[in-house]
Formats: sequence, structure tokens, C-alpha cells
Amino acid sequence: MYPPEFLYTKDHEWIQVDESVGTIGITDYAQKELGDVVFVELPKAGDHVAAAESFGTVESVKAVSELFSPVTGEVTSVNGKLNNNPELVNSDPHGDAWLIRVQLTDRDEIDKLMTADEYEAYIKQEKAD
Amino acid sequence: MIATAGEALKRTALNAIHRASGAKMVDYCGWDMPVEYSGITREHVAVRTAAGLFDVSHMGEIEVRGPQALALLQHVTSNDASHLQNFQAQYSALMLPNGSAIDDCVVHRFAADHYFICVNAANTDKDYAWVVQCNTFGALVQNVSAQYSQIALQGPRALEIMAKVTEPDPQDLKYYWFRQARCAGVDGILARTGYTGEDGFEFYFPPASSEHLWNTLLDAGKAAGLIPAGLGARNTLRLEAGFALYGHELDEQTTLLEANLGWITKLEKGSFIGRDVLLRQRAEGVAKKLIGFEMIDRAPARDGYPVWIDGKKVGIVTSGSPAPYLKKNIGMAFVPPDSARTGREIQIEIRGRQASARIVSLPFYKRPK
Repeated sequence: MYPPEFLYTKDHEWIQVDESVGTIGITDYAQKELGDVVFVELPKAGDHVAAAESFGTVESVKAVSELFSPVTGEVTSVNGKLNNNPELVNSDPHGDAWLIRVQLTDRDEIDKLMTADEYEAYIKQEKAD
Repeated sequence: MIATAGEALKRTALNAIHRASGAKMVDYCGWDMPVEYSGITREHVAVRTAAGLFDVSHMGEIEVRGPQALALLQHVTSNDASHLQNFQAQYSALMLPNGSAIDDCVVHRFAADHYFICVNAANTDKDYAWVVQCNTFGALVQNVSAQYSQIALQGPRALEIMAKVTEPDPQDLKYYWFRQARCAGVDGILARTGYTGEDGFEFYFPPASSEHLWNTLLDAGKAAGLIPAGLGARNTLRLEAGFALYGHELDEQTTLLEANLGWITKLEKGSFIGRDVLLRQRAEGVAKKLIGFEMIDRAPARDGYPVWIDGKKVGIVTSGSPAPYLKKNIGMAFVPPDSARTGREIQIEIRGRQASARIVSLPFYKRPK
């Protein structure tokens, strides 16, 4: 379910780091909690994002959810497909519905993130609460 | 809307069925209710194109009986209940002295000395206390909410589904009329009413039969595309239909005239609670006016977002959401009356930025006849 090559935040974002570029999305758990996604608002290429700070929003019919960046860096690309197909976030949250790519400023930041196993334990706990 | 900490949530008789079906449950006004089963969009579209089944057992019911029943209703509600015939229903409001509503409601007349009022779940206790307090007439007022479950079957195929399991045939039951009926072998009150903008029924019946009735209706409607629908779709459906939701478009600071409910405000019927304020407002004009709007910019507006006109903050969004059937972002808001012109562009403040919207006439959606 949760790809082992990704790292995860407590706010339910994932990041896949390749050298010094990270691809960021929201997790399957997050999309299920949100329900039908109808709108995604993202930064532009060249914008800066900071670890644990908001970089956009994803909205379902029912709710608005802020997106928090797992890392600090500069946005190198944005998934334009989500403009016209926000429902991809529901159908393929770990793949086609990636949100942004970021050039990492400090690669050590990813050491604080959860592994897939840790994340699965974390959401099991959240569900129980 | 959040229950007091430590207080157990109330459950309808269908709670176990909702949980077993995997519905997403939320705390709605102290009730543990299904917000969605298979997705708000799917449920919403099913109600517009086929049918949806809602558990609305959290709604309250108040009975008013006795020779003075009509006199009390005429005093405490805004609409003219004297026009009702036996087995006819009427949308109305329970009034406060300042011309606002303590709740909106549906008044059903069984007989000249027997009425049945359906009220909002969150308001049932205060409504009951208020009607009792206003009852200087000697009518008998009872909170009978615990005696009823209520389900709503809504959508263009609601009639054919209901007809399969109901005696007598509901075909000739007219809009806003009701009758005693037997649905899936369960005796109850069947009304041709609803809160979705579609044709449909609301059925009031003893809670013990809830699971049987729910399952029988779902089976009967399966081939027609009937699915269970939650409070999420109920909200987006009523918003598309331009219906007020208490706590959003209506509250104790908003008069009926401000909320576009002049059509249920019968100032000529004689004295009733709040009438003086409403007469004055009719003569002098209202302080604010409820409008509908469509977003021009892409982001959805949400409840509570500020509304700006000509560089000034003039009001707030009372209900804002993506509209799953219309596929637009829509909302309702209060604005100054002189700004409430259809076609006018307004700004909605979304996360600190101004987004353009346009005032449109209500309702957003009207079902094809």
C-alpha cells in the first residue's frame, strides 16, 4: 500500500527523494479522509517552500485541507494535470497525482520523516483514536 | 455543532447499519451520523439522476393537539396554518420576537385539533421549550421525537421505488401532502416532502422497524440505482436547490425577510410572534439580504469566508461549496440590500486573496418538470 521508497509526514504527505530532488504528494490515507477532491492549489516553479509550512491546499466537496511541505527548498516543477483533473488525487495519490518537485536545501531534513512501516503504524494509531 | 466533551453522541436506530456499511461517521450537532457512504459526489448525482436513501432520524418531531392547537400555531409560526387541510403540510418557521426564527420547520395537519411539526435535530429541545413557553392557549404540546425514525427517499425514481413496497400506492400523493401508509409492512406517516430539490418522500415510523425498512427499500431500489446518501450530499443538494439551513442562512439574528423567506411570512394573517418587527422591515427595508453567487475564479468559497464589494468587507458566506451536479462552485451570502443585484460581481476572500464571484438568482438548480 505505502511504497517503501517514500518517506512520510504526520500531516499525511509523502516524499520520494532522488539525489537532491524530492517529489511530494499526499497519501492514500489522506485522500480517503478528504473524499472527492475537486480543487488543488499549488505554488509555482521557482517558489520557495519550507519544512512543515503550508505550500498549498487540496479541497474536496466537503473540506479544505492545507498541504505541508516535508522539506525546505525551491519548487522545480508542478503537476499541471491536477488543474483539470483534481480527481487524480483520489485515484492515484502515490503516482500520477504527485503535487510538486522540490530542489532540497538541506537533505538532512528527510531523516526526521517516517518510513512506510512507521507511517502505517502511525495511521493505525490515528484511526484508533 | 460539536458535542460537549464527555457527552456521548446520540445514535439513530440505523447507527449499526451505517457503521457496518463503512460509512464515514461524524459528530453532527451531537448525533453520530453518516456524512458519506460511497462519496459525496456519487451520492449527490444519484439523487439528481436516480435516487438516494437518507437516514434523517435525528430530526425532531413536536405534536400540538387540542381545540387550541391552531391558535397556538398561528401565534408561534410565520406561515398561515389556517389554510392547511387535513393531511396537508406547510414549510414554516417558529418565530422569535425580533422577527427571526428559532427554527424552520414543516407543519403537518392531521386534523383541526392535531398537528405534527418536524424540526431540526440541533434545535429540537429549545424549539419544544419555546413552543411550551408560548402556549398560553391551553394546547397540548409534546416532544415526540423519540417515537419516530425518519428516512428520506429522494430522486426522480423515488416514486417508482416507494410504490413497489408501499400501500396505498403513493402515486397520487401530491407535493407537500402526507398520509398514513404501510411501507415494507411498517405503518407510518408518508409525506411527499424533502430537502434535496427532487421529487421524493419522507417517512416517519417506529424506530424498532428501522433496519428492516432501510434494507427493504435499498433492495427495492437497487435496480433503479438507489444508494444510501449521507449528510454531506444532503447539504450540497439543498444548497443547489437554494434551501436555507438553520445555523447558516437562518439564525436568531436574521429575520425571515432578510433570509428571502417572505413567502412563508404571512403578515396579513393576524398577530404572531415577531410580526411587528417584520411589518416595520417591510415598510422601511431590510438590513441585509441573502443572495446566491457563483465563483468566477477557480477556488471554492466556503462557509464563513468574507464577502467584499467595492473594496469594503460587507458580509460573509453562509454556505459555500462545490456543487457536484452543476459542477460549479456556488454559495449563499448576506450582503447590503443595495448591492444584491443579480449579475453584479463581488469578491470572496479566500485565504487572504480576493476571488471573483457573480451574484445569480436562486435557486441554482431547479428540477426538470
